[in-house]
Amino acid sequence: MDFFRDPRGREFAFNAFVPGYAVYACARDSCDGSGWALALGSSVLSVTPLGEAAALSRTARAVRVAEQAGNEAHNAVNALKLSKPLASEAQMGEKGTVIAGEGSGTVFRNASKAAGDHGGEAADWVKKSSSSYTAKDGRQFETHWLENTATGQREEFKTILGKATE
Amino acid sequence: MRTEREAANLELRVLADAVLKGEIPDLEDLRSIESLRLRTGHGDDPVFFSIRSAVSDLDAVPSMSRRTLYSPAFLAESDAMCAAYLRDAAVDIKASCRALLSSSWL
Repeated sequence: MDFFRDPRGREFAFNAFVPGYAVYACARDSCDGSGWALALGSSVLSVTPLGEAAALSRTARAVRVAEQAGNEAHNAVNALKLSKPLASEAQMGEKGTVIAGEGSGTVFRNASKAAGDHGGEAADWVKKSSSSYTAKDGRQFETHWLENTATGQREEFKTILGKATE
Repeated sequence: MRTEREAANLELRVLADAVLKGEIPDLEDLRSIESLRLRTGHGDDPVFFSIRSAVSDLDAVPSMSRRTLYSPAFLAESDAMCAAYLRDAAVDIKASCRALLSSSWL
């Protein structure tokens, strides 16, 4: 993971990095300064302060910040591109809903495989889903992952795309 | 004229009926149900859990429209895995479809 230091001396971690793009805009969350989003030419670099765990609320704010940054980024297409990866990141920070495994009423059929691949007991593994996000182009998506309810370990995040609504 | 939600509900009924009539659920039907789910306004209803889980677990299985892009060997292996999964999950999925059809909101 790469790090950089801001003008106030705070260290930030790069969650993603797309080399070769010029920075279009840099926006800082004005609420408490903890959420940053750097809008790049065709992607988003989201920056999370080290040592802070409140990913959900911070990243949700970062989504709004990115949308604001998008408004400064000359066209609506860029705004759309900015919001999706950050929304996905926000979904990864959610508590999630168990859709298969203990507590869901549905058998998690890949529990043994999850235990084999990632350790632990099969009975501890569940499949979780984030809330659904609808982008401005109508495209909906969720994030799914496997979670060990005994340890909190999360594995195999994936984006589930829905059909665009009209 | 039907609203989008009414149209989605109608389509869901047809698909749930089709799943109940078959011996083993068809993955394409389940994927269609999954894509309609959020248009109903009740996408988070637990009645969808078994279908959401199956579609998620089987997301590596190529859709019908993309099968020509894969080798016959891969398709044979993928189809066998999918059939075994859906055979095992059929009871749960059909129970979900029955519950869906008796939902107050559908």
